[in-house]
Amino acid sequence: MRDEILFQYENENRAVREDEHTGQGCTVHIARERLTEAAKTMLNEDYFLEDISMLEFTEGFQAQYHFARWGNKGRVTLRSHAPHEDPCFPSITKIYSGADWHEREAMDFYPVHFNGHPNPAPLLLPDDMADEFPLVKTDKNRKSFFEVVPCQKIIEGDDEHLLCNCGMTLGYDELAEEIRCAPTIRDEMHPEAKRLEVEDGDFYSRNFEEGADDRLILNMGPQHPSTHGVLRVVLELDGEYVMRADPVLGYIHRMHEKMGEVKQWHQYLPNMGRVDYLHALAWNHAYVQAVEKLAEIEVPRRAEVIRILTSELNRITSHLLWWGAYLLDLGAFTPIMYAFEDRERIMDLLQKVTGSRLTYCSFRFGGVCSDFPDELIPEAREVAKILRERLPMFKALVTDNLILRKRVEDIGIIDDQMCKRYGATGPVLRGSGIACDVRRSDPYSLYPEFDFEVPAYGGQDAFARYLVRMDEMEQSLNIVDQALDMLPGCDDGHIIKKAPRPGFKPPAGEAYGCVEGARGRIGILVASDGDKVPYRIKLRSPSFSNLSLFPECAQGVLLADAVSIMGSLDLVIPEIDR
Amino acid sequence: MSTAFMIPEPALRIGIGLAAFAAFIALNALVLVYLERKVAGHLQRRPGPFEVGPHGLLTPVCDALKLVGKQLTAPDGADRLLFWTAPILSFMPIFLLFLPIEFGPGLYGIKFNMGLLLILAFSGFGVLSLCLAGWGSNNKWSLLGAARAVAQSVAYEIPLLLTVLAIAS
Repeated sequence: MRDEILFQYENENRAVREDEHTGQGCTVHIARERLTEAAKTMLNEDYFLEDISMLEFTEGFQAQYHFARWGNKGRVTLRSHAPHEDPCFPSITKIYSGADWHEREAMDFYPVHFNGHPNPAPLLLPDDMADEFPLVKTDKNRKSFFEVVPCQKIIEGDDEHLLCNCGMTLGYDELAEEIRCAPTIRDEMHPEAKRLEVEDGDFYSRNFEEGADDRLILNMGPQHPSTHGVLRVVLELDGEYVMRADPVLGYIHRMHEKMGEVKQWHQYLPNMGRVDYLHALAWNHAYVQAVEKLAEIEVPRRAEVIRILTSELNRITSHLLWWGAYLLDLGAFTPIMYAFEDRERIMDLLQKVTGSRLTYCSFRFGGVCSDFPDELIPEAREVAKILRERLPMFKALVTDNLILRKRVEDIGIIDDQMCKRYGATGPVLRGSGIACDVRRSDPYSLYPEFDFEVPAYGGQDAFARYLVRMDEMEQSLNIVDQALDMLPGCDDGHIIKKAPRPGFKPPAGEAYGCVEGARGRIGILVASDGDKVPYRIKLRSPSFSNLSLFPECAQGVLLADAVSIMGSLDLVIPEIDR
Repeated sequence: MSTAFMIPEPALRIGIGLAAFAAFIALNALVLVYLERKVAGHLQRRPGPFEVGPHGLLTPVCDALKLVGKQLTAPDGADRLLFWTAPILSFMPIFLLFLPIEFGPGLYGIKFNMGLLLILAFSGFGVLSLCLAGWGSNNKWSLLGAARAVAQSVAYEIPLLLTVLAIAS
């Protein structure tokens, strides 16, 4: 399957070997003018766009297009280069609708341009920062591509090749030549390709006022309760029908990726709890996983069990909070009080294990920071038992409620093709009938040893997504029970072995950590040049991709249904803005 | 005593009736609000009002006093006349609603054949006050909210009217 795709480009000696070790999967180097064509191939082969990561080297900019597939293990990364003098890439928005925001994000942080992008306005940064690019390296700390992706010379007969640890071989001269002499593609550029000039108001207010005849332009947020934070959605209403919806991001953008480049590796761990405060441990897991892959750190079995145990408990708290808050959006006040009561029990338990209640930071490179004491096992079992009794009650009182059904059934249809185009993952994808879960499709940690199901519903509506999350809580309880059974058995006396000291320097290279968070596929790309601080950290947040399909999904629905759709996506704004 | 100074009986009845209903409704509201908050609180696994008086019994009184002491503000650009008419219009019909009801032999505000129709007519005033509040505040969100509330009230009013008339006839 993969081999067929890899590709027509194979004869160009660019697509090469799979490297499970770094999590990067298979890498294809490809000239930028062929990106569109390659993206089409990927779409036809059922790959979805995970993320677009931009990296800066002395040679130029490198755009990494990360692709993954629902059912199969393994990822594909397309890498393309553009020199500093001509930092343009073709936009693949027409092929992957979700690329829209990823490309805008890259344009925010780097002085690059995506030719043919329909709306190259700032996404995460404010308008007045349109000429500042926070992630551009200074001359001092800018490194060569070959320093970050170390290569070793391999001599096969007369050919001199470089073998990179991110899974590719190619001639150095060939690559350098390609970067230097990349054919200019400026000609295709849109006449107004430069960032839009800012006049009165921001892009959105101007864009929306222009087209409005009799229509009402309404700001939902940034203080609207149903946006759960500081998301702003500009709505164009015809009566009560939403004609156009455009989310405006960046109200709590904190530039986590820049923080990653100025802190030491372990100092970045607390940031992970702040990216997604509802499922902090999944982000912890993704980051430590990436660094462990990079530095080849071994994790004791007991630590893995504790990681899974706490992470699944955290997933339940996240789903409980979503459940309460979603019903609050739909006008039911009482459920959130019940949800918080149960969430409180789990948080009390997690507090004893991890030391914090919300922004957990208990994972370490090579293990966890504190053991799960045996005395807590009965208490954890008791909590799981109570939750098992409560879930049927929630179903009887709320899920089967006619009023709720009317609000969520056949509302917000998101089919699998739409998920593929936008890169939606997690319960949104599983609500469209695709049983895809990173824990199963691309297993990490000890998940293969656990017995749990991946719930999926074919309804494609808000109710299907609701049911998926309700079932996931049950499945997480199964995992918690199994982990509690495993704990006494895997007492190898270590929860952390050979922990790297503060200021440790992982070897140069790249690694990709990918886990299943409560909202979908979390991915963290770390690139190291062998220094005490990371060279680049790119966070792939599931909510970002899930929200990007909202404008298409909300077009033509009633305003009240737009709230229902937005809630069913389970958004966490800090994760979107990062 | 000359009859010239006598207030006509129907007017007297309406005046006394209105005063009595105002007192009854205001006091009843205190009790009902307290009970509503208490019952909802217990359903939601919290004690409800608890701080003022034994078991929070005086909370509604404090709330009423606080409401009376509120500063009167109107949004910029609001139509002040309509804006202030709205709350008055929403409270007034409540008192009128009770007038045609005969609580006992001779205990009524208005002796009226079509009392039921009068009650339904007065209760329809609420929709009007919603319209005024939404329109008078000169704000898109209020307008949209009012439109939604009016649509909902009207949607409920028709079935209510039909059911009540079916029973009455």
